[in-house]
Parts: sequence; C-alpha cells; structure tokens
Amino acid sequence: MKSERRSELLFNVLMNGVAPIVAILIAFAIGGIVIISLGTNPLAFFSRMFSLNFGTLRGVSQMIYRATPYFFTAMALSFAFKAGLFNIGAEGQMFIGGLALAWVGFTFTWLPFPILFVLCLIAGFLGGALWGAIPGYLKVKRGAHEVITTIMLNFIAIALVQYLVQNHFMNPEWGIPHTPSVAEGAYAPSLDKIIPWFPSGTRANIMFLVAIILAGLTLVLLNRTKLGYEIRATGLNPNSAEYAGINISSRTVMTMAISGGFAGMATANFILGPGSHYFLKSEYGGIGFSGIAVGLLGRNNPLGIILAAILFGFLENGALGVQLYFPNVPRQIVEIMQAIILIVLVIVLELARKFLKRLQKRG
Amino acid sequence: MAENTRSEKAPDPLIRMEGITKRFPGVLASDSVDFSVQEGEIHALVGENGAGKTTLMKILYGIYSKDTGQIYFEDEPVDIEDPKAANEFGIGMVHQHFMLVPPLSVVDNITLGSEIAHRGILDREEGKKRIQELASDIGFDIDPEARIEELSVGVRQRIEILKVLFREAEVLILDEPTAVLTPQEVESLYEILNNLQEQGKTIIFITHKLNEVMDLADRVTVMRDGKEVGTKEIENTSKKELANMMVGREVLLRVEKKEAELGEELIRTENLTVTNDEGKEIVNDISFSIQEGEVFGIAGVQGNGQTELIEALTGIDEFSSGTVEVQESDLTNADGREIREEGIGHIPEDRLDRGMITDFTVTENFVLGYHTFERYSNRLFLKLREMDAHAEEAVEEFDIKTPSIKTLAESLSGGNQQKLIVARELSQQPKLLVAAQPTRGIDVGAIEFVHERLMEERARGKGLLLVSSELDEIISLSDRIAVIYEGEFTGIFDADETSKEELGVYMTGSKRQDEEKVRRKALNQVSLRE
Ligand SMILES: Nc1ncnc2c1ncn2[C@@H]1O[C@H](COP(=O)(O)OP(=O)(O)O)[C@@H](O)[C@H]1O
Ligand SMILES: [Mg+2]
Repeated sequence: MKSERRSELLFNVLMNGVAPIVAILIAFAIGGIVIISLGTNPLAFFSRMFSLNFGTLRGVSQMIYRATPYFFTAMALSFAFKAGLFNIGAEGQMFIGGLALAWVGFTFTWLPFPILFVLCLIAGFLGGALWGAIPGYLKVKRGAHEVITTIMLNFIAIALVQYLVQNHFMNPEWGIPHTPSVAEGAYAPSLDKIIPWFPSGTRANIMFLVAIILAGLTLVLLNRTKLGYEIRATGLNPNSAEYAGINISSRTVMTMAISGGFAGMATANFILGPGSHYFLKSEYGGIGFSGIAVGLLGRNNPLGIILAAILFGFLENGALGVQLYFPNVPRQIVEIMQAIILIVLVIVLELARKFLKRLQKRG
Repeated sequence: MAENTRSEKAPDPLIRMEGITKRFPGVLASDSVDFSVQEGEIHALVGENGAGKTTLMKILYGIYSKDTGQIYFEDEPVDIEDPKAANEFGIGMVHQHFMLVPPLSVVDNITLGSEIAHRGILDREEGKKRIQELASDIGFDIDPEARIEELSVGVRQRIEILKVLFREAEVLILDEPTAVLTPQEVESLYEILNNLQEQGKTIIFITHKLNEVMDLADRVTVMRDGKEVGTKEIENTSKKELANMMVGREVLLRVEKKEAELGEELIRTENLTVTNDEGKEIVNDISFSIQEGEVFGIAGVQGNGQTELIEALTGIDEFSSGTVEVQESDLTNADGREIREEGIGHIPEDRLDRGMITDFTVTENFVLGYHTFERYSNRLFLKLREMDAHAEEAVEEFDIKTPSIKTLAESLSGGNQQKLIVARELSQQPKLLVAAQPTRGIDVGAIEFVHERLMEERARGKGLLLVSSELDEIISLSDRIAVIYEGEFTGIFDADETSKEELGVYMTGSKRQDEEKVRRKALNQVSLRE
C-alpha cells in the first residue's frame, strides 16, 4: 500500500505546502503591482522590508512581538475547527479577555510576580472562554449557528468593553479611553531576560513562548487525551459521537470555551508586555479577524500557524518601518496583501483539491 | 454446442470489451477483462466490493481511460474518450452516487447540459413535455417542477434514469441501483427496468445481491479481484454457484445454527414507548425478554420503529415510558456509557453515520464508545499503546483488510468497515449484543463471516437482539421472531416454524395475533406454540 502513502504525501505537500506558498507569492506579486502603480520600485520596497525584519536581531524581535497576538487568535480558530466549529468571534473574545486580564492586573496590585502575571493570563483565558462559551451554548440549546452568533457577539463585546472602560475604569482626564496600568507583578518578562543573546530594549516578550507552549499542549490535548478524542469525534461526526456515548453538547460548549480562551489571551502581549501596560482598545482592532486568515494560512496546524503568524508579524512590522523610506506607499498596503493571501489561498486550495481528484480519477 | 440450433447463430454482441486492463496505483482494478452485452438483454455484473465492476463500467462510459484493451460497438473498434463520446454511442450511466443538483427542479436537472433550444432560446416547455412522455412510457408519474431536494431517494434514482433516457440512451448502465432503496422501491425499480427492456433497451446492472440477479437478469458476468470469472445464462446457474464464483471458494448461504441452549434471562423490557417531537408514539408499548444463548429477531419494514427502539435501548435516545432491566439492574434510559459498562454491545444500522467516524483511524474507531474504559484510558489520557495493540489483534482475528491500523476508516471497503464495527463490539465480550442490519450492503463473503461470528456468540451463551429487514437473515439466525408494525409487535413466531410469507403478512399489518398473547410470548411467559 505504498501508493496510498504516496498519495497522502502528495495531498499534504499540495494542500499544506504548495497552496499557502503560492497564495503568499501571488499576494506579493499583486502587492508589487500596487506599489509600482504608486511609483515605487517593489523590489526595493520588499527588500527594505526584509532587512528591517531580518537584518538585525532587533528586527526579528520586533517581528515576533507583532506576530504573537496573531498566534493566539489563529489558535482560537484552529482549535474550534478541529471540533467542526467555525469560531469567527476571536475579535470579541480577545476584547473581553483583554479587559479581564487588565482588570486583574490593575486591581490586585499587591500581588507579586509571577502570581499576578499568571492570574492575569488565567483571567484573560476565562474572559475569552466565557465569550466563546455563549455561542457554544446557544448552538447546543437553540441550534443557533456559531458563525452568526460569534459575529454578533463581536459587536456586543466591542460596545461592552468601550462602555466599561469609559464609564468605570477610565480617568476622564486621560483623554484617550484606557484602563489604569497593571501592577508590576503582572509584567510579562521581555525575551532578552530569558534568552541571553536576544537584544534588549525590544518589546518581544514571554507571551510568544507561552503561545508555543499552548500550541504544544493543544496537540497533546487533541491527540492523546480522552477529552481531545471526544472533541475530535464530535467535530467529525456528531451522530457517531452520540452513538459512542459522548455528550456532544458539553463537548461543543467546552471546545468553544477553550477556543475563546486562546483568543482571550491575545492582548496580554501588549498589556503585560513591555510598553504602556494598560488596556487600550483601539490598539487591538482586527487582530481577532486576522487570526482567521492566519489560522487558515497555517492550515490549522501549530507549526503552520507559527509560520503564518510570523508572516503577518513580518508584514506589519515591515509596514511600520518601511514608511520612513517610502512615504508615498501607505502602510495599508500590508492589509491589502493580507486580504489577498486569504482570498488566493481559498482559491488555490480549491484548485488543488480538484487537481487531486482528477489525479485519483485518472489513476 | 452442436445441439444448439435454437437460432441460426447467436446474435453478435452489441458491445464487446476485450482484454481491458486498468491499473490504479497499487491495484490492478481490471485485469484483461472480456465482457460483452447482447442487444436488448438485462445483463448483471456481480462481484464483491472492490472486484472492479465500477471501474470496468466507467471505462465503458469514458470516465476512466483504459491502459490496454479494445472496445467494439456493433463489431466496430471504437474509442470512448469521455462520457460525451459514450452518449453518442447511446450509452448512459446511472452512478452509485447520484449526481443531481438538489435545489434545482426535475426538468432543469434532466435537461442540464442537453437543453432544448430554438435559435438560442431555451425551450423549457418542450423539455418538460418530453420528460413527462418518457416517464409515462416506463410507467411512472413525475412532477417536473418538484425540486430534487424534496424528493425521496427512490424518486431521485428515477430522475437519474430519466436523465439518461433524455439523452436517448439505448444502453443503460446502473451501478448498484438497489443499494440505497427500500424493498418497495426495489420492486418498482424492477418494474421500470422490465419496461425498459420491453422497449428494446439494453441494461447493464451492477450489484452484489444474488437475489436481484436471479429475479431480473438474462445473463450474468461475475468478477473477482479485477478478473472476469465467467458469464452465465440465468437459467443455467444458481445463487450458490454465483456466490462461489464471487468469493472463489465454497460459501455457505445458509447459516449453521445449532440447537439453542438457553440460560438465564438476560434482559427484560416492559411497556417501552418512544414518542417523537410531535408526541406521536413511534414505539408503542413493546415488551420482550431475551435469554442467554438466544437470538431474538425483530422483523419489519424499515421505518416501523425499529431504529427508535434500538436507539433508546442503547442510550442514544430515550423512552418516554417503560422499563429496561438487565439481570436485576435497571437500565431504563441509561446513557451509552452505562449501557456499554453493563456489557451491552451495539452494531448500529447506519455504519457510516453512527457506527464509525470515517476520518478516524482504524485504531480510533476500534475504541469508539469504549474509549472511556479503563483498558483504553485513565482519567485524562488515552492509552495509545493498548489501543494499538488491541486494534492490531482485532484486525488479525477478524481478518479486516486494511493497510495498517493507522489507516483512516474511510479508505476501507464497506465490508471491512462493517467487520471493524463487529470486531469492536465483539472484542468487548458483551453479554447482550444489539445488532441492527448487521450485513446491510456488504458482500457475500463478509456476510458469511458476520453471520458465523454472531452464531458463535449465541453458542457461547450470549444474547442477541437482531433487527433486520432481510427476512432470510432474520429467519436463519433467530430463535424467536417478533414482527414490528407501526411501533407495535403484531406477532411472535418460532423461527423454525415460520416462513417469509407468514412474516410478510404481519409486517404489513394485515394480520395480528392477540395483543395479550403477543406480550406474554415476547416475555417468554408462554410457549410460542400456544
Ligand atoms: N479512482 C481510483 N483510484 C485508485 N484506486 C481505485 C480507484 N477506483 C477504484 N479503485 C480501486 O480499484 C479496485 C476496484 O474498484 P471498483 O471498480 O470500485 O470495485 P467495485 O465497483 O467492484 O466495488 C478497488 O481496489 C478500488 O480500491
Ligand atoms: Mg462499485
């Protein structure tokens, strides 16, 4: 049965390797055309972007800082995906989780590091989990489709967070609505404290490692535990899961909660990491939505997600830096490219699937 | 033969396929196969799953390209490159999986790709008229404006046939047309095919059910492992011979059933009722008991409450009233896990949508439902090594054909998927096994295997609740048989003293035994003879 393994390999290479890379290349090509039309040399533009990110360890570090939150929101998408659920609500879950973790950080100020830090992460997770569990519950009890409810809950979360910050947590004199700063016990150590050769003075912090550890734990959870087995069974075939005595309602709610929990920790990178240390809503908009693209580009697999998140970090960090050199190219070029990646990816995947089918047919 | 002077000479075949070979990566799906069809005949093509029937026909229909070999149409060598070319020779095919567009109407589905147009303007009415004519020619009514998604499987199949006729096919290939049909629908398909034959059409009919071959075909070709084993006239062959040809060895079509050795009462259910969402009783006041070493069969036309009864019994659904006792312990509306822990196994009727998860590996499917057992997991973690070891043993013992235990169940053949489910349930050594349609849609060899294993369980003193719509199966495996009709038992019989005909009468509700007597017989309180 070698041929079977060969065709499985082909499937993996095409769907998980070739398709994302083609999508990325096409996005760069289209981005390049837009840049040409703005009267700039795209090669110069992209090579500047590349050297800004990879030219120095500081660049790498900044890129990692930008990539980290995407890693969390993409994991939220992918985890739900494993259970057959489409969680479009990472944005809202991220806001609720973010406010929850900030609140713990500026409320229990007397607690030392790492207790307060860990409590903040837990609060972020729980806040996101709560916001994720609601659509799970609505699906189970009322049959409401999670795509619809998660989208609606995004709007509610955004409004709720705005309201709470402006009316309860904010000092009116600050001008910009944000919460008080978290206490020092909640600070996430920057990466150079942990990795000696890392450059100091950048904002990359331990949350990147937390994300990697969580991704590893997720793999263990899904593939080696009873709960993971049940979650996958529920996602792949709820009827058979029901036959197997699995409580599919509870598994659905739990999956959405864990998924939301991941999204809920996304902003810890900004709030607990080096920087302003408070919850500033306007800074995080879109990270939840982009997580959908990152998760799909990473093909719902942890290694793929790291790479995809780093690509998004690369684009974002590059866009910030490259403006100095090419002021006539707006930094929104990056958002265009991110969107193109997603659209092209969906198309290429579909083409690859068709191609594989044809191949099978012709033997 | 010399004495054959019935006609001057045998008519030349309409289609002749010679030395057809087709290799897929790793399998020789068609190994220099010769196959020919006479004009106007119904020709059955039989063989176990994976024998290469579909492949051969897809080559004839131009879907697959052949590696070597030649096709002759009316003795002319022809090249059939694609289905369009096949259509030009008047060949049409109804696939195993329907290819209709559910939201579109019957007319639009049938005319799709062959629309009638005048000067570029679609003439839908004309198409509609032709379809109605075609339909009434072969004896059925059809609403051309109905949307496909509103129609039953049986009707959808007719649409597929019409689609082929609309393209003026003279040769119809039907790939396992009865696999998806209820017994009644099968009957009306027979009628349609007979009508088509009367109109002079030629029909190639793929199946692995020998009864259908004997009922319908003029000639039959048997395939095994990609080879053609032989072609027979129906008058000159028997089910037994065909079964042996298909499997390549002697097959027992009848199960060997030893004298029953009954033990203690295993399960006792009383006044079981299941109501649906509208409050209607789907299962209505059913009581029965099963003893050790006994097979209690429930016969009935699909949709008379069997599924609901079994699902409530095994923890998937719930009874609205009634009690279930298994050796003193109350298992009324127990959940799936408690049921399994009590030693009740369940082979569900829907293999793919209940019995297994096709995207799980063989191992993962092997523990489905038992994954919470101490054998396969502790509080948090699965015991992957034990799971693999047990799955490996079961694959060996139950002769499940799979490349490895890491293979996804979706790539197993239907028969092997079923064996995997049977292996899982029997490996847990249940004291009571609930088996619903345990041999539906699997081939002769696998059927024989499953039957033998079930009888072994009976001989070991296990109890069996068997639900099947195959009356042959029910009669040959069961000790007592209850007939279910509209959620009620209409009669209880001794399997040795009843017949398909008798059960059939009770299955349609045209006759009933006395209600109280049925109850007492089902509960083993009086002997069946009374
Ligand atoms: N498209 C394909 N690619 C690879 N193998 C195939 C393909 N189609 C059929 N096969 C293999 O060819 C063999 C014959 O299959 P098939 O013709 O479908 O059998 P049948 O219709 O008699 O059940 C099987 O081993 C099957 O797995
Ligand atoms: Mg087939």
